[in-house]
Amino acid sequence: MIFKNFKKQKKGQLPTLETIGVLFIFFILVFFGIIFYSKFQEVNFKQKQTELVAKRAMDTTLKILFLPELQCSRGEAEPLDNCIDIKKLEALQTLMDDHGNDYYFNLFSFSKISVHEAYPLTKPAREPWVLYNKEKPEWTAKEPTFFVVALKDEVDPLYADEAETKFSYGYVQVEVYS
Amino acid sequence: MRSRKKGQAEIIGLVVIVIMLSLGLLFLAQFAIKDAGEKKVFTRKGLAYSSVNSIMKTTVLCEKPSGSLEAVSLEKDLLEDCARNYCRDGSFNCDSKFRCSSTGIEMHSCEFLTNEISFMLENTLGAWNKDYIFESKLAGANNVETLLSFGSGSCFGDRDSSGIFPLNVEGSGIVETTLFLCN
Repeated sequence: MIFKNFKKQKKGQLPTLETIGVLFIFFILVFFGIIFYSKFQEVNFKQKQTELVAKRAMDTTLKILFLPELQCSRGEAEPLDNCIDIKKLEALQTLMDDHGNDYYFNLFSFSKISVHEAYPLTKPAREPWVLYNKEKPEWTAKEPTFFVVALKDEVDPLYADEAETKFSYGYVQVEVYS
Repeated sequence: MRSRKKGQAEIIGLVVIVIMLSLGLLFLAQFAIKDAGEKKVFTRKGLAYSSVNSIMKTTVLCEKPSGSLEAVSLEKDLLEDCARNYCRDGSFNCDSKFRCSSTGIEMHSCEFLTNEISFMLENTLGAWNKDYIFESKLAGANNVETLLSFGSGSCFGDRDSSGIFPLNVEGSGIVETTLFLCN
């Protein structure tokens, strides 16, 4: 009787052990899956964050290019594309001092926008125009974006008597903080 | 009969594992293949277009034979002059209406344009680690001749173009300017 019971017990133990083994392996696989997925999500999140900052930089650049305060207007005709009027740029620099914290902050948020003249080289070389600069406290990443533009200079000391329009080759640099 | 059933159950188990692995791989591949290049292409195209557009608008000071300085447009004056007085042998040893200088030596319009435009692009696109090819071709009635052609790095394969910027030069043909941008 006792022998019979022992045999039955052993027979019952075998499938239980098998089940425990299968469950053990299953949970190990689930554990590895969770680790893999969390790592993947972490990388994905960082990538997404970088993409968002890059997109914001691109959006800010587009806002600058189509800002009526800077565009090279031609009376009632359509303004010149990819062109910044230096006179307007210098006027906007002073306007930024008054409205940099409200109106323009809503447009550009935490970023630095500067316009550089690359050609022709003048002596002394012109300093870049820093149009807007709002640095984010404790920023972790900065994404610079460049875009080539023509710079229109209506009155140049050389042609003061002729009132000729001069165009130079420059670029807009937009740095977005995150 | 019993062992056949057991064998079938094992095969079903294996099939389930294979299906799960395949699903996992498909899931991975979906993220790996996902193309993030759409924005890049848009930016590259826009940058190429704005670069040529700005070059074409740019004016430079060119010294007249009398010694006075004159503001000339790179496109309307110099590129047109380059197309009209293009040296057929590929050199710059022939006459052109404008003789501008950047280093104190008067140059043929084509040579001046090559020097100045490559300087402009090198200081912008080159400084931002972008490879490019700049080309200006004169499409005449019977043939196409290359007026300007220079670049940096190897700009073949995956690249974007600024689109053609045409300039009609009376009596010579149409000058087609294009900038190809890579990276």
